[in-house]
Amino acid sequence: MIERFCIVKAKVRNKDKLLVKLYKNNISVYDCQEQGDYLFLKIKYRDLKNLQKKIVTTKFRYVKDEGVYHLKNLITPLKVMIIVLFLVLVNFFSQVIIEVDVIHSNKDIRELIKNTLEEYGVKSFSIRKDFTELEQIKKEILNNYKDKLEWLEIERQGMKYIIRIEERIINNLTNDSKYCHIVASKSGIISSIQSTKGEIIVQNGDYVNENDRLISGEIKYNEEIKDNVCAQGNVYAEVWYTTNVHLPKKYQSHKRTRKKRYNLLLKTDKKKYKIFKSRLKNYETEEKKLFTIFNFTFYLLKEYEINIQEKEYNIDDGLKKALELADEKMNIKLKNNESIKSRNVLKKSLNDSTIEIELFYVVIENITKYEEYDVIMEEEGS
Amino acid sequence: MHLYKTMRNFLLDFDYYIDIYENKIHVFNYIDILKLNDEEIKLSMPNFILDIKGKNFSVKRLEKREILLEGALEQVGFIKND
Repeated sequence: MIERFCIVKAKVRNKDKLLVKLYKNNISVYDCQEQGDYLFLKIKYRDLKNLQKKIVTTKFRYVKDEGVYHLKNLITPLKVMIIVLFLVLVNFFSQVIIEVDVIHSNKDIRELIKNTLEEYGVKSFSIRKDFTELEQIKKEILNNYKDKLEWLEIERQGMKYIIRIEERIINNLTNDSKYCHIVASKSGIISSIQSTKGEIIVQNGDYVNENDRLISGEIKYNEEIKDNVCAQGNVYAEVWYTTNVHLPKKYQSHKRTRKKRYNLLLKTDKKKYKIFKSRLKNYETEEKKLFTIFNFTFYLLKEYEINIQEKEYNIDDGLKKALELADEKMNIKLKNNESIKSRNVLKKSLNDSTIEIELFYVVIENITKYEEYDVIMEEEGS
Repeated sequence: MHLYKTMRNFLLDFDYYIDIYENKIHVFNYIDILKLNDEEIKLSMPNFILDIKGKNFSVKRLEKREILLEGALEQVGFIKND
């Protein structure tokens, strides 16, 4: 049994006299603090009645319990209930998923995976699944979409699921069971040929028209077809483009002043909200992520004041800018291993409000195009 | 006999002892309080009277056989019982 101690308070004129009285009455004091006219004594709770009975000249008032009993008084059923409720809520919220984020550049794939996951119960504002369930879901989705998905990963980050996908790219035309030729998708001069299957029938420097055969699926020996395959490879050729660029002569130049203001930005999935009204008229912004709560992300927004000036290109600067724009436009069109070989200005003119330039581009481009064909098997004896 | 005495004392705490610290004094197994005020405390011990003098004395713990005092200790004296 733990001894119960308590603090009593007494207004005394002569504390020493009182202490001697306590001693004479066999009442032990375990701590004694003097605060102004009052004396705070720590005694055994069972001595309290004895004390009030034997020392009638001083009035003792019970203040509080000490130690474990003080803690017992602090922990009321209501407090315990609140703590339990809080823990239950924390536990509940730690089980809830508030967002499912599918990461992939292809919108169709994103939609497909999101819808499929919803069917399995992996959606926003749902209870999170355990590891084995997720593994099972992953396995089933990969099995169901063998032709579309190479790899799928479901990662839990706090209250969010991050889904990473690798799309399966299958080129059906290179299937061995089919026969195909490689033909030119555009007219041009052949610059390089890489082939892993089939018979190359053009050479570097040859001019080819659109749909001309470049690598044949027919393997010939002495003009006789010995075998048929699906030709595989890449053929690069110089192709030509003419392009026109129209550039307005007037443009706006932005120059930052030294003025800077801070603001707060709240981003949700769909919208952005500025917390405070911006005090600058013209400004550029820079964002710095502060923290994320559920689906809301807070950013510190730095607003830099800018001076906007109306300027006009001269012919040299205008030409330089127009060429930059044209190159940018052309580079967007180009794929891997494709490049601009040369560029010539065919025509340039400076009008009242625009600069017009006509350009001629020589581009090294992949002109590979697969063309299937059927092989008619001749019956023996016919 | 010596071992018996030591064991008995260890279990029953018959011996008195006085611990003096920088601003505290702890007395164990005293018999009675003869005088108690801010500047002087007299305790009756088995064979003598313990006279403690100092300033701003305050009792921190007071039990039947044990007392802990706090204050500026100046002098500790022994008065032999006749």
